[in-house]
Amino acid sequence: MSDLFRFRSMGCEVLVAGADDPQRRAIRRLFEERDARFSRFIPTSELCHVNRSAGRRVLVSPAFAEALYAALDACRQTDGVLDPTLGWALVSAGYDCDFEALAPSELPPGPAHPGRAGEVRTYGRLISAPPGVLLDLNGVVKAMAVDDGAELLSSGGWVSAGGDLAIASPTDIALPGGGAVRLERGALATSGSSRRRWVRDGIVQHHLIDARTGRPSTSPWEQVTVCGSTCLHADTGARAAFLLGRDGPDWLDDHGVPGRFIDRDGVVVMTRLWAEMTEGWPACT
Amino acid sequence: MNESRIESARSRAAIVKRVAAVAAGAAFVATLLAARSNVPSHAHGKPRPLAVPSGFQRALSGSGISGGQVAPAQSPPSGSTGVS
Repeated sequence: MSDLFRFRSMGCEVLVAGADDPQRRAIRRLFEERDARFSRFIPTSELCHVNRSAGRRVLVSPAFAEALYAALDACRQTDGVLDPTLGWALVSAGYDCDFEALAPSELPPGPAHPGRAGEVRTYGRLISAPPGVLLDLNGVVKAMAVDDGAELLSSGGWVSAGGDLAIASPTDIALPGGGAVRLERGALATSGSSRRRWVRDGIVQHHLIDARTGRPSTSPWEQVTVCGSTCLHADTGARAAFLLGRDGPDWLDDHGVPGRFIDRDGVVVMTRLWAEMTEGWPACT
Repeated sequence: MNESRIESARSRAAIVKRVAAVAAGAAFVATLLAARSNVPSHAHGKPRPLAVPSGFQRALSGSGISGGQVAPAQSPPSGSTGVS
């Protein structure tokens, strides 16, 4: 762990292992560029420009289009469970500034804002979001940055940011909530309501919004860890499985994706694939 | 005398025909250019496709999420994931 390189970006700590100095600089620059382009809290970011242009067609950069298409693809793959149009729902819940600056508030949460991804129109790099929609691409952007950062590692190592981790060579990884696994291929992502949470009018809020209600999810899970072929896939799986509640494990099994769930009482539930890979036999169901 | 007047008339007619042909061609070209520069449905220049981001393939190629591979830990962990 001594060769770890740490820096802060996208509201979380980024850890890089196995990188030489040029690679460290390149990975840091990659994260800073993505943050400057996709932050909801930097007025000059391209995301803020696009959000200010809601209701009109706007030509976006290739990088922005790539992230938006990835988010819309995740929305399609999860039948709308993940939705990139929940920016106002986050603001209503009180997440209206950098997470480090969030303070408990006695103000009640604002109105609910269910997802409206179906109303976003794309024509190549021309996009159009309906008036009143605030895009939030944080989930896919962070996962893609971790994937792209790991690709810069030429001789092993890994990149981690928040709950996302991608490897350049097989690595033993400690899991949140205890335990460890060897990540042979792909990436791990953990989503949960235990970290990014805050209080609004005495009610605990968190950043995982249920697109159907436009409110923070009432999922029974404390956290969900998923192993995907890429960090983007792992993050998509982890967030969707969390939001699907008790249906999450079956949904991951149906997609052939290994995952581990921990509920609010600390009970661990593994998908069939996770149990087979880490323990050698199918999980009891 | 008559022959001279006929020749003269033919000459004037030929000039008028040439002028009319040139004027028609010029009017056609002018109309074409005006249409190209003023009508939104006409291309103003050589058509150029919107650049397709190189990473589109990554986002669009997968018809669904796909899993990676984990195994029992073999040594003390050298990395860890947080929660987001």
